[in-house]
Amino acid sequence: MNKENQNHHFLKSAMKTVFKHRPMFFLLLFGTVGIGAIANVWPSLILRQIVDGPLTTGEGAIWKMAFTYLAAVLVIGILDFIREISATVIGQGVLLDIRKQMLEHLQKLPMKYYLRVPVGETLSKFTADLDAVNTLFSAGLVSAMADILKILGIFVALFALSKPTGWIALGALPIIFFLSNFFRKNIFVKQKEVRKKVSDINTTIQEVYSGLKIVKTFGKEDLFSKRFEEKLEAHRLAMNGNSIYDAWFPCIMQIVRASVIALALVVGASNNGTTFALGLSIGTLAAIADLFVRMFEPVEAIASEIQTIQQAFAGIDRVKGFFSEIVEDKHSDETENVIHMDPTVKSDIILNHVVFEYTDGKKVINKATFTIKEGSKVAIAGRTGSGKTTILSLIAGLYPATSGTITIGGANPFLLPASERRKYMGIVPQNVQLFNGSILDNITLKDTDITREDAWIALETVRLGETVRELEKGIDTVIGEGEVQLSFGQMQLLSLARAIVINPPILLLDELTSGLDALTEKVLLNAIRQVSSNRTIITISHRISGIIDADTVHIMDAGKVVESGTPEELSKMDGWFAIYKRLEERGWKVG
Amino acid sequence: MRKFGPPKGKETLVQFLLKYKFQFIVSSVAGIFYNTVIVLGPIFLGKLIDAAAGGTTELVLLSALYFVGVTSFFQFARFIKRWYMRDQFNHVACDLRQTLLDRILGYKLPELEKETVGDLMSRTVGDITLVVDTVMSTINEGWDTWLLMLSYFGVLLYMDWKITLLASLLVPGTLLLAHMMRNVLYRYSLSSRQSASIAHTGLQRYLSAISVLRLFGREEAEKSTIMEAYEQQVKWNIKQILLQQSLLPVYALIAGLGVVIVIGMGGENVRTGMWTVGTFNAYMVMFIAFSGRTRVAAKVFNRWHGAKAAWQRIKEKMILDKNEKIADTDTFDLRNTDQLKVSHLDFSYGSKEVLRDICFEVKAGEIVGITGAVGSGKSTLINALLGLYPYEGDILINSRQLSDIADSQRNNMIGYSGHEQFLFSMNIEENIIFGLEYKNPELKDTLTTAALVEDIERFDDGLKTGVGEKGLKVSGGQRQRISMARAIYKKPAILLLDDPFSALDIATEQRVIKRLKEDFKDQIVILSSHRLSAFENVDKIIVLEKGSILEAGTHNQLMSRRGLYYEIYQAQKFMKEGSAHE
Repeated sequence: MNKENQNHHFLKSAMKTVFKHRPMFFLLLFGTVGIGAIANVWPSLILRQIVDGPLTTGEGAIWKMAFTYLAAVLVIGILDFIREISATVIGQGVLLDIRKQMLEHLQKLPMKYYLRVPVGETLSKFTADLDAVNTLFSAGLVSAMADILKILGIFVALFALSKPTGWIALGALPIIFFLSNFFRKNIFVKQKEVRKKVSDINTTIQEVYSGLKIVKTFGKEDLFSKRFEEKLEAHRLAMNGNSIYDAWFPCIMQIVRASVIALALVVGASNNGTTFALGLSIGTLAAIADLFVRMFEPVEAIASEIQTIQQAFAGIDRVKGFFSEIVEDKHSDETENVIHMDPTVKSDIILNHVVFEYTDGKKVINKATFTIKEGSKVAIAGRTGSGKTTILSLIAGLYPATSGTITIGGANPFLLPASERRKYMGIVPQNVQLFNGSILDNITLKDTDITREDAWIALETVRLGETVRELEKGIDTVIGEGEVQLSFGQMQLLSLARAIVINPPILLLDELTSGLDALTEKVLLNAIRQVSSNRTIITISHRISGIIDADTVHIMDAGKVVESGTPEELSKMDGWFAIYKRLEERGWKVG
Repeated sequence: MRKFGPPKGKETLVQFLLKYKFQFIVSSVAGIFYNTVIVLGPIFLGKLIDAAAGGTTELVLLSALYFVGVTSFFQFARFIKRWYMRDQFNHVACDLRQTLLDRILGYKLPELEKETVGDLMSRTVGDITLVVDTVMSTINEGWDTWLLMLSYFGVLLYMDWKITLLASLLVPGTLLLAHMMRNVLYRYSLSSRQSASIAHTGLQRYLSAISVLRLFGREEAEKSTIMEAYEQQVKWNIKQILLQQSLLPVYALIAGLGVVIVIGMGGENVRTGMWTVGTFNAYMVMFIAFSGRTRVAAKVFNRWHGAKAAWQRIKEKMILDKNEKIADTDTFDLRNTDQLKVSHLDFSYGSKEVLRDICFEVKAGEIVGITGAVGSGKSTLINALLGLYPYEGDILINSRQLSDIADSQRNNMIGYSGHEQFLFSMNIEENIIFGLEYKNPELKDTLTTAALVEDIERFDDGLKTGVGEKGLKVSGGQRQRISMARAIYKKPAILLLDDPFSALDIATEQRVIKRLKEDFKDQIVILSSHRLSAFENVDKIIVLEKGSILEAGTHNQLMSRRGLYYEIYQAQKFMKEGSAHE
């Protein structure tokens, strides 16, 4: 991916996509916003007609006018409805498209991103941050636009009815706006403070509950009770700070509204003896009062919409940060580097001075050198942190080596295309990962090149055939649904079937037998024996007793191989292998 | 006097509320004022319109003054109501949280270990919030919806009962419609949340199983599964908003039909002179406000169900019977402990027996090391000696049974550092002193003994360095030593250290043991470890196997026995030297 592409704006491109598919809704949105602003003043004008017509002079059909009023109210309701729906359809469409873009981006990120960034952080980009972006459509921009037009409509109506009251409205506008902005801002600031105090309280509670044993062994219950009290009081005071604005806000706005209406009516008064009188009809006066009431709502709303928009932009920035994560340029010159290896021809795996560092610069693998001959059965053992699982990941091509080379039949496994990897090696990870779907789906992983027959053969090979045949829906049984629950051992067998279904020449196993009962373990070992002929098998062993049927055992410590040989040779040697075995038999921690 | 706590007498929710009678009475009076006087707003506005249309200047100004004045009055009452209500419920939430936390702090340890932190958290935080919010909004809605509607309806009836009855005929329809749609809306939003949660779980699995996905080339397929869920979510969201919004024109129609009657019949009243235009206007404003409120009215009782269950959950943990304490009348001075004698000690967690027939003796000034395989009972033995769990057999301190010693005395006597070291988000000094008196020389000695001096020097803020939430700002090894220092600073008669050296290098480990020997000349130190290098200089070693003592003696005695201890010692020596050479 080149630089320009990286800088493309995800929001713009999402809007374009939605516009292409749903142009009608954009039209409806802008249409209803415009017409809505005009329709909004209609009821006030009808009120004026009613009051000045049938009510005072007795002219005109009052019921007809009443129904016109009803029609006006209905039209406003329907316009609001269409506007909200259009905004929702567009907003949700944009959201969906951004999510799609983000998922596509995830696919391109290197493994190191996943090691560096905690799962929760990436998840919150998809949830909290995107929700903020969504409010831009659901509550921010569209409503702000509609509200501004509504205010304009009211001004036009007021100026048309009586210029001086129009000027009063215009004069009141900044007062209302700044006043509600003042309250909104302060409430926002205070709420932030409250949220901070709430998180303080949560931290304190979490801490006290997690450290209860220490608190109790030291007899410090009172100390922590008092500490908690301080946090509660701080929270209460912060809440009070918020409450004072929150409690005053609507009250003050109502008083201001009453004052402005009173002022407009006094100015508009039609009495005979005063100089400032305008002599407006009573219907006009009623309409003016009504319009002023209608003006306050959008003005107050704009103050909060501005805030929403600000928050939305903060969310957009955070999502933008996600898109600027550097992607892996693994397949830049794909055509040259793809392994030209025939999967049916077995090849030696050669590690030469391999060094691997995760992000912190610590050498997890430190100049590991060894060769795994084609068709051999190799076990790799060592204590936690010795680097054995990392070696497996490197051979599988999950990461590039920091320095040194890993080759399988002369080619770098890291450059294998994702969709091809299965053909060269089958991998059975320690934690079985089952996916939503049928047993068949879990074997093929939705690869359409694999036939049902292939899947059955794999199931038979791992001795699961009978179990699956006994199920009502057989191989199409959806795992985890209803009555069908696979045992842990069966899941491991299924995971093995998945690895061998394409018949790869290399099999990588991350110790399967941990946590199994003796019987299942036996079944599994038999299954592995069944599949191991004519294949290179590399097994990670967390226990020496788990090493079975290996031609060669490599013991790793601190990132390198410290001992190699057949199990028989090694157990005679009084070295690492023998020591591990002894400690293990005694149930002692190897670390 | 504590700021927050339970009410006197019975601890019912009502009693918690009534602790703040003043706020309650003031907010109630203000609430009644606001929601009744509010009807004067539209009435005085009507009078102002009438005056403006034909009255004298004085009348116009006076009417305007009345209108603004009366509005200010009832809005002020509203402010009083809002403020005192918030104040009261703020206090109630604090009281509930403090009470619950204090009760939980008082639990006996075996009771506590049945609880999960997450569950206790959700009761102390979420459930209390739910209860307080629900009660407050119910009371608030009681005033601002029901009383308000009642006031309006009363005045409307008084102004013209025929129009009122006729025009409000359809108003209950709003209530009914809102009520009916509630279930459908709930279903839609539930479906939307379900899809969101499927997508969320999918994404979570995607992120945590990324290596498997990559190895099998399965990313694309998993991505489309997540996208499908997102698409479902969007579908339900749109449906929900479609239904919600489509109700608006219907509400408008219902309210509008009422308004038609008001205009038609009210207009008649004006024509016949019964009403002025202002009265007509006032009636219309009130009627629209009245019918608009009905929609809100349906919402009030929705949350009660959840709140009741939440209160039940809070009460469950507030009950006192998990808090018995041994009366603190004992005057026995335990700080001069010179002997700890354990004989025929059996100990079990629930029904599982983990220690059997443990016997040993320690004298003041001795260090005892406990070792054994994984699950042999090392930590359990230390736990038993804490005196916070029930046991069988004897643990005698100066021939006094541990379980008979009052809590406060026992706490003074025993110092403990567990193998999951827990620090509190205070600074290092506070974590070590931990509520005791600050004594400079003792603190310095403690830091030396716990091998913390160099670490502290390297921190910019020294001892005042904050350790962060759960102590995560300092390294694992530092956490371990700070936790050990907390136990050492107390200078307890019996110091219990459970696996204190796992993150220390062997040289430091030896130094710490040497210092402990010097500092605890008159006290007893018991420590556990699976690394035998720690025990070369201790006075006595106990090797456990499956909950019983397998071997005991000094390092030299055990080495010459050539038993398990010897075997493990040799194996560990090989690995240590092997690693160092490579």
